[in-house]
Amino acid sequence: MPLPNAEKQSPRVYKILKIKTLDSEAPNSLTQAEIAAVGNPLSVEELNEDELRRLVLVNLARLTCKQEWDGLLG
Amino acid sequence: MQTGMGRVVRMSLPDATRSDRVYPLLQNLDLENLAFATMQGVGNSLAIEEMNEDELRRLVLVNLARLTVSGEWDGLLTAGGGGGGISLPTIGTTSENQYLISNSPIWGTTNVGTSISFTAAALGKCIAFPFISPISGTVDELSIMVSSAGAGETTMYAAIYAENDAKLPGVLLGYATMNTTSTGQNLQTSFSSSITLVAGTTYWYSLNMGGAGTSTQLQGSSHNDTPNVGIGSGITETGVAVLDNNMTAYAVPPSTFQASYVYSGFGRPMMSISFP
Repeated sequence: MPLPNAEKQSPRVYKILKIKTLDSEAPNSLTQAEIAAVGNPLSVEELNEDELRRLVLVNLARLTCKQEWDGLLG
Repeated sequence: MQTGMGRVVRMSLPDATRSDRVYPLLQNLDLENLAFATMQGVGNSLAIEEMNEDELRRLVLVNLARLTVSGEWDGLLTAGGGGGGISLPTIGTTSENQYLISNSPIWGTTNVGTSISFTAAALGKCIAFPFISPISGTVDELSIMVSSAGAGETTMYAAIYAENDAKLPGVLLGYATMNTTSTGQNLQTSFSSSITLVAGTTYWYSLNMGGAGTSTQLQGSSHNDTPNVGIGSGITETGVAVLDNNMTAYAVPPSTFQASYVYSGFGRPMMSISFP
């Protein structure tokens, strides 16, 4: 695991999204709605911190591939 | 760290302190039901110091997770400002060096054959008209079009205001002191302060007399040919501008515009600006 002491397995984020790809053009692309469906039920507590971190990471990775971050740069 | 149920919870980040605010206060909420106001209530009292670094990190992480599920981050992906994302034509040749903010979309019109009288006492106070900045930059010239030369008092103030949260004129960016002695295009390059605009953003230009003029008229469009600002006291309101009735008459434009009411039946005077 990139982070020491993180839970060995992602009980929700990677488990549900592992069939998806970052390519927004691919048939199995990941949408924001699908990320929302994965993340919405996550309660905001210490036990879920790794899942929160994975959720944010996955979304940032998806946006990295989606298009240039013109809103950030412009 | 040992929970009350005896389970050992190891922080993913070694040496992280126990969360004594972020997670305890938010643990009964899920991401779908976590509101910004709640986040703000949790975070506001956190002092910015070393001992709170883990709490600051958790606060940012939770907020990013909340935003991840709340919607697409269009603001991150798409460049642009206010004005509904409207892009206006920019200067193409050296001869076309003026932006006709009174005539351009979405508020303006090309039918500018009307003479608009500024002799009424009310027009000693700022009357403001919305426009969308075509480019980002600092204004170096401002023009009005005088159709009837002023008499009695020939000073007119032309100001530009930023838009406030209510989408009305708010903070003064700067003004120019115009002279309406002669008819035709009246140009000014000196401003009370630097006026910097952002492309696609809505601003307001205002005009008010510097004294009781008896014949000052500016060329512009009739209120019948100009988009309504969209608010009024009745369905037949014909307001294309708002008036600051709180300011002192004939004074320089106030530092903050206080929109008193829509000024009905009044046209939209021509104004152009230029950038270096």
